[in-house]
Amino acid sequence: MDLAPRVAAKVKTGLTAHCTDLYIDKAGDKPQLIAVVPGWGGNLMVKIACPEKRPQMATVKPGVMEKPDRVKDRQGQIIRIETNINDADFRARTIEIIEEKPSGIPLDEADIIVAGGWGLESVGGFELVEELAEVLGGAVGGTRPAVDKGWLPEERMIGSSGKTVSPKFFISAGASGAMHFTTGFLKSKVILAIDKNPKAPIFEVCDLGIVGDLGKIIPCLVGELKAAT
Amino acid sequence: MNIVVCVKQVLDPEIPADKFRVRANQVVPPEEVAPVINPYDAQAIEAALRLKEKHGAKITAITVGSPDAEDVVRRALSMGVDEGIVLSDDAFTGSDSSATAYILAQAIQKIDAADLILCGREAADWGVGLVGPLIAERLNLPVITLAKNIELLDGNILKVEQVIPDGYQVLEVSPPAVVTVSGEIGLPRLPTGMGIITAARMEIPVWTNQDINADTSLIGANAVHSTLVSLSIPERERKCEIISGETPAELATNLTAKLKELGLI
Repeated sequence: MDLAPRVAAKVKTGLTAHCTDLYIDKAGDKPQLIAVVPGWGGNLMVKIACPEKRPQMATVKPGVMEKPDRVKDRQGQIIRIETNINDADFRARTIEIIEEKPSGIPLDEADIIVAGGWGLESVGGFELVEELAEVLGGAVGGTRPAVDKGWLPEERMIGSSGKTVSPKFFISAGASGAMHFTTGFLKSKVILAIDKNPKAPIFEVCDLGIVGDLGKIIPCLVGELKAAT
Repeated sequence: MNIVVCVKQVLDPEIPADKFRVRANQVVPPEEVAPVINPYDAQAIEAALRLKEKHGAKITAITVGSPDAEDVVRRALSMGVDEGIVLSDDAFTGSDSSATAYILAQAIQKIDAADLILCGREAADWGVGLVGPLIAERLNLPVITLAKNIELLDGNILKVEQVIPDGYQVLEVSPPAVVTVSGEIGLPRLPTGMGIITAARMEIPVWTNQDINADTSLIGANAVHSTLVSLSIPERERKCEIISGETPAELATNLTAKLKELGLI
């Protein structure tokens, strides 16, 4: 968060942060990097270039790019640079690092994620989502309102100010589909939405939809899935 | 302790997606929606107020923007901030993160020796989170990003808990320093009735470039490194198949069949 901006300032160039896509535009006089960032919590797609200054710099949001496999016989030149850092250069000092391993399957390793939102309140809370995730062997996530309710810890929040995920199967339950939430999982392979409001925007960003009472549908679904798997 | 909190006025990020309009690569704000204080900046104010309650402090809120940006400074004052300044000048218009950080840094140097400069982790509009670290670079100060807790220890040392993946790290730094505040700090307090009345009566000075003396070649639209190529409303590519069924049990059966067909279970 703090390294890239300071480097950009030192080399006097522009920096585009938290990119979700990068490509080279070859149309102009000189090829340039186009950095794509979700603006306004994902409501807008913003493309940014750095036309004059070189180098061009960008940081990539975790979880949005596919990690390529390791190619064994690739060769590259490693350049060693002598640095001249002394003790006085360290102004902020790390005293200790506290690991808070989230319980359950981490979001970034899960093939299946079940995320819950505000709509769960009227049907008895978050346990439904946890049950569904358990029977599917998936991880649990949630929206900002679900985190604010204290249903799940901050590190389980999905969206523009939380985690970006791209599992094989993403289920949204009881979330209306605010952009700053949906932008966090748009690249998932298959998206299922369950909500009681057929006009909720969540149904514009999913592949499969179920309209109905979460409190009744999820228990039925858990039963079916238990029988099926 | 002197604390400066940098705040920004943004379009309310909670407005529904269908209210967003883009014209000529600019966001057209919906008429009926008033701009708000960037929610992360409100959390930076909350962090400042907690320090003030414990140790005593003078808190100054500053913003760069149009004279209307006074509203967000007044919001900060109503929450309990002591003073506010609006930085507004035609020469500032079109500034990018780097130029905005420079403008803020120039102003911060004019305010009584700041011990701590706080920013929200990012603004809810562009969401890049560059201004805090760039202020630190300008003022040659240490910066700690994504703080979830800030304490002042004996011997005038700031102890900051920084959010990292799967946990947090505890850092210590001697003031002055820049700290950006993360969502984990918790919900910001609401202004009290008394706070609103007090804030309404306070004078908020507007500083122009004459007051802060920024090099005009480093600010405004001409100083930008990064330029906007396009701004658009993203296409939604997915077509939703609504699963049919009369009863919850039937819906569950039909969905399970579909999931099997897709190889998802």
